[in-house]
Amino acid sequence: MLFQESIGATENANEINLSFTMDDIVFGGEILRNLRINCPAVLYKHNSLECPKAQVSFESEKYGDLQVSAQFLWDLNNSAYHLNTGYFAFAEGRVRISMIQTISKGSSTPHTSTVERHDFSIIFSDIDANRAWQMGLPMLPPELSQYDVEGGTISGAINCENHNDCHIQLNSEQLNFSGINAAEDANLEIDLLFGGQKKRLTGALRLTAGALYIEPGFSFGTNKPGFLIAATTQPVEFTVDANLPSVDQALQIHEATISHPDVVDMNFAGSLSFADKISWDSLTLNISSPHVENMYATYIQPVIFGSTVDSLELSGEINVALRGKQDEITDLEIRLDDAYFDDAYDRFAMYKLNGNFFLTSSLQPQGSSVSWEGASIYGISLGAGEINWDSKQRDVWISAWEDVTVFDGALSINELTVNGFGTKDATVALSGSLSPVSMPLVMASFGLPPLAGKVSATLPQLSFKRNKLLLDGDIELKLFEGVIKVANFEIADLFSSVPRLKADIAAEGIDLATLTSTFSFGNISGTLDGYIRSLQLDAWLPRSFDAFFATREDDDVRHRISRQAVDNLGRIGAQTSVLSSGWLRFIPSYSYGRLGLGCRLQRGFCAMSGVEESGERGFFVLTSGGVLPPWINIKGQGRLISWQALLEGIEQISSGEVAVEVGTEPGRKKSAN
Amino acid sequence: MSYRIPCLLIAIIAVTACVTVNVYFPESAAQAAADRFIRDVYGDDANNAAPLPGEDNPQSRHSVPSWFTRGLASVGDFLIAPAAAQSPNINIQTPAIDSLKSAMSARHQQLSAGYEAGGVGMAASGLIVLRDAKAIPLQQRNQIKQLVVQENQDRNKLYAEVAKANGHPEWENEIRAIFSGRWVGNAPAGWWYESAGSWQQK
Repeated sequence: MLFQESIGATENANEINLSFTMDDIVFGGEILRNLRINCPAVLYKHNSLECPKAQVSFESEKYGDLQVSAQFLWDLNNSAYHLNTGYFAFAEGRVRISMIQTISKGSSTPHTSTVERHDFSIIFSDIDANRAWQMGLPMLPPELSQYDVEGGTISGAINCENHNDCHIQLNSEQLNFSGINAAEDANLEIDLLFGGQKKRLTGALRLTAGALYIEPGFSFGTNKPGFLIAATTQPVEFTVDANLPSVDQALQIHEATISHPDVVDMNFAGSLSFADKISWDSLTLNISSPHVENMYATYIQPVIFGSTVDSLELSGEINVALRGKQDEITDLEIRLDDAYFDDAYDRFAMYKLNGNFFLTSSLQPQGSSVSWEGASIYGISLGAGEINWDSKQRDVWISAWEDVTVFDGALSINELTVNGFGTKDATVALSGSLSPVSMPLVMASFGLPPLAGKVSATLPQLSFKRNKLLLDGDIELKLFEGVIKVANFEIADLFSSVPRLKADIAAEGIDLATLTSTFSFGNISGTLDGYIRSLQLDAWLPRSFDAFFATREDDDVRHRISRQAVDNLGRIGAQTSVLSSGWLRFIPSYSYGRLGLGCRLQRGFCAMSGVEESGERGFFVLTSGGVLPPWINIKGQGRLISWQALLEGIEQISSGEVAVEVGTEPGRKKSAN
Repeated sequence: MSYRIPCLLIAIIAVTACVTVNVYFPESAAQAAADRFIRDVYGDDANNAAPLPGEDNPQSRHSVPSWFTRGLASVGDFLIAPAAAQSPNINIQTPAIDSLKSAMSARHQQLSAGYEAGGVGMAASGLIVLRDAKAIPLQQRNQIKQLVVQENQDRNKLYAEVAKANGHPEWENEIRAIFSGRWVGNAPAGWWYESAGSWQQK
């Protein structure tokens, strides 16, 4: 094209003086004006045309006034063009270009020929990144044109041979760009070799200052992980040696390493496919992190956003060695040294973890052991413990364990198993018993009002699978001298924002005197039975249930109730003052017949009931009893109360905000105790 | 022949005796419920809600209820519930929804700057997306990404939970569509939203 636009040529012996001046041409969306190519002495020798002192110049708003000195040679024997420029000013820096292009045999002119070989080399220094970006923007593909390059300088060299075999060396200083990937004051050293028939990529990237945000492009669900890599006093280095895949081929990584001081040292090799999901034919991964919290924040957390473990506080040292084949982990070794993790939402924690864990494909069993000094699950405080594991042929089982303290009691474990380790269906199962735990400690850990006594329990098979805790059998709690049975117990989405608990609870023989002895509700004596059926808690708050608790009709225990308890009961169920004549206020406790209260919760409202009906809208929470006066009873008026109002009333009572009021006694005859 | 007429009569009676009960999605009630929920989540941002093109000021369409009317509405939720199929009412007061609202409200305090900067946008699906990574400073980008993922998990749970709380799990898509519009409707000026496949700034 260039030659066809020539407008003048002169000849002197074997030298030719060529000079071209072209009309405006458009290059990369930019108008180049007064493009002039001047070759003062074109030499014809040894079957080649040579122009050793060519000058190329043009004017452009974007590129400025460019003047380039160049040497040009057309090797007629080999149909090859050679172009070498001198350094020329470009984007506040300097650039030098060399190019060799060989045309296939049989071609007569450049524009009708096929390029057989194309080598080029660009050397540049102190290029202003922003200016160069603006110059090149119109030529960039759309996904790159979304980026903004704010500043920095770039030096380096690009050498490519035979179209694809390239060696790229780049150094940046104070580089700033933003887009899906981004850099902030980044000093980078990049050295990449790419080419060959198998598209092999080897190279290194060193970040010596500043920060990079790298989003490789793979997804986990809707999350596309990105990694914020920041250099501190020592550089961060990534190396890779891989064969890049063609369509439907696996990515062969011969070795990839990360050397990130104080964060992680990692090397990886494997054959990976990224079709619908990440799968592997083979992989080897070794990780060593002296500060697991840094590794988690930089490389793990961004990948697991949205999972149960995406908000952990960690510390300690971890070493991991992993081998895998055909999408399965065949060998795994994890070593922990003084590790600690704590969920930001206070759902679970473990402290001072030490030991190792092995999963092996060998035929010989390999033992490992992990110990810890403390743990907690939803505020339930667990003490130190140790678990021993055995593994062979890719199976893992628990061989020994220690009982674990729970508050001031202990969890004696009869059986502890793990099945399907490393799969989504991994199941942990446990059975055992809980020796007495002080109720004040339990209640305080849940932020509930204190209750006296101790609780002990037998635990049948408890299993945990896919974030669901399931009870096979009944939990039997011994509490307040009675027995509480929890049946049909399950918690779905245990470690989520909305855990969902279901259970049926039956209580028998609860000693009210023990129950109320440390509770500011007031003292009551008697024996209580009751149930909570179809209990459903969402996010640990009641969604629905059908509950009723009442003292026994044929109770062996004498029924007495304190003045404070009478008044508080009245506040829960009656909405009217209970102690209804002046002189009653001087009596500290009263006999009663039967005490009972029911609530059927639905849609945030509680349909109340008592031990006896009283007309259509009333019910008795407490009936009078005893041989001698005074006789009292508590009557509920209206059946429906908002659950929130009921809770607020109970909270006021428990915090002692409600004063005992004395009024006039409502008329009701006593009933036999 | 003598059996044919009685059989025919029985068949006609049987057919005409079938009664179809249509349950219609209570759109306006769902919008009002969505507005109540979203204003609680947005907090102060809802006070600066800007109208969309062709829309009245949302503040004037739905006045903020007083504590008294809220209390009445709560009782109404319960009383009306059994007749929900006939009477338009959407219940958004369950422990799960309250828990989600509480989490989303706390999260919104951290996401608000992302909306204002244009980094986070409201998608037509009723979810949010990292719309323009460039608008989020490098150091905050992963934090915003995490919030977006967590928010979307909660929004998906919310739409299913509202449908379930009203006895119609099959309404989830309708609830999602209503919420999708109201997230935008209650948003202040300057926030970005997806409309007809492209991003618009409110």
